[in-house]
Amino acid sequence: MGFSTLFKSTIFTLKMYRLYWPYLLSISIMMPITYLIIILAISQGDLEALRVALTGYITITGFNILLYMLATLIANTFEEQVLESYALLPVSFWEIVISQILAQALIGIIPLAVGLVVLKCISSNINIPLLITGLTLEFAIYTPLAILLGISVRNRIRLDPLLVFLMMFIVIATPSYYRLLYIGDIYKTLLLINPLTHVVLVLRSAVGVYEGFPLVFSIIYSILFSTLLCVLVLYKLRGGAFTVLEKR
Amino acid sequence: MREVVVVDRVTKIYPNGVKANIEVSVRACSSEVVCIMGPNGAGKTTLVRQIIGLLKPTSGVIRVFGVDPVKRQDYIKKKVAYTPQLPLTYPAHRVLEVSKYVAELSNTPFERVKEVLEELDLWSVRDRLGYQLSIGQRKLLLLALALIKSGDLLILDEPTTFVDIFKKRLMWSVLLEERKRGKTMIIVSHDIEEVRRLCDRVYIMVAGRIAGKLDSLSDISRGVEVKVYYEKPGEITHLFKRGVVKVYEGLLIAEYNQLIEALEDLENLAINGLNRDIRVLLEYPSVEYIVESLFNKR
Repeated sequence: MGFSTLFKSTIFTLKMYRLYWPYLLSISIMMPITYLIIILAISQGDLEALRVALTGYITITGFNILLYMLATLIANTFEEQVLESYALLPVSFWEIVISQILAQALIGIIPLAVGLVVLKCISSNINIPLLITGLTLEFAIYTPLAILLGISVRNRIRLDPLLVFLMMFIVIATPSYYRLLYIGDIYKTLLLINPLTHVVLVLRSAVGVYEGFPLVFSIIYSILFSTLLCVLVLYKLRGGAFTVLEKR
Repeated sequence: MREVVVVDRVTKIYPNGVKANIEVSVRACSSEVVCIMGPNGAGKTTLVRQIIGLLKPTSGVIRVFGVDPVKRQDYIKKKVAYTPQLPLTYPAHRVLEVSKYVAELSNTPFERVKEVLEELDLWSVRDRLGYQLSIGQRKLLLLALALIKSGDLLILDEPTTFVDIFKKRLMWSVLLEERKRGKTMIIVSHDIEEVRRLCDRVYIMVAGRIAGKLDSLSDISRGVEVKVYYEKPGEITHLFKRGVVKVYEGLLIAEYNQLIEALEDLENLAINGLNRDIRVLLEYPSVEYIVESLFNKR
């Protein structure tokens, strides 16, 4: 796998968005900014509430860009005829997938940076290593999940409602915009099954908001979940593209 | 001659139980142009996808340049250039952008990109986005990309489908040049004229099996059909002495083994029947006709 090939393929993927710029603009800029404005308005100057909401913002923005957009891109790539047209290109199957991940990661930098800058402005003390750990775990969960969804559905029109449903589910089933600390035990237990809850907990710990749950457990749980997803992806693609195409 | 592609008794059954290929054996040697013909749904594209390693045979063996194309995808991508059947290109990329991208990844010099785009009449539309191209231009672009990528084996899945006759001729002339350069090609086609012009050997597939193999193009040169639309076809049957004549209401069909025989009868018609209100069509046989003939022979 060559860096030059990856670089060229990433640029090639990014150029695709010139035709779908309203889609790109709405998901990667308009939607995060809308969230941000609502967060700022609702917190009414309460810095802790703002920090709680901003960590949720980072998680949900990650969903939009790393899961929603990437899964759609992968599903499109893995449509039979599209994948066939990629067979012409002198790039390996993994180079195609990785270049698409890199393209999405680059797209995500702007809204993520906006969130982080606001977070920095309102937080007196940020634990940078923990923040990086949280962001890495977010990336490590969303990316294989997006690939898994994309290659399983292989049709962006069929995938779209599934992603919308997943989005609604994650907003409710992840304590993105509320505190885990103040909810009932049964609901809390259910939320802790969701690995994204643990990502939120790590991010919150980084900005000094604690949810009363052991951080080490959250990190280990997230790593294990991400590893499981990666293993599933590798299993699904064990023989290359044909293992996906075979399933008619 | 070295065997470039060996497909040996390959059967492909999809997980849903569809038998796309049954005991298919095909060979292509270096510098040879092999054609795979057959009606829709015969399993041609499945076969081609197995040859480039996009699908895995259920049983049987495929070797391309001596390697298993599924296991050695990296090698196959270097050695094989391929154009898919459907004119799906990159809608948001300019013609030149895609061409340069493929060229850079394949270490093809820009001069070659320009040469190919000019040859295929795409240089003038090099700044157009993929979605702005006509279907014919998209097919030309797919061929251009395959030629830019280059490779010792060119696999073309219905390269001229959706393409008008002028662009077809353009593509044929470019492919004939490739043939002269000694390029090995496998062409899936429905077009008899295309096969005549380009191919050395023809495999005919029907219902997933190889129904026949024509080592000589004279085999498919046989069979020309003349259709004469005329009010009273019974009155002119005597003018078609060299063919097998069938008369329908308002239509006479004469089938010939050789084109020359049809031309002689048409000359006869021209001398004796031109004062009549007659419309004449001369057609090469369809794929279905060839398939039928093969089965009748058996």
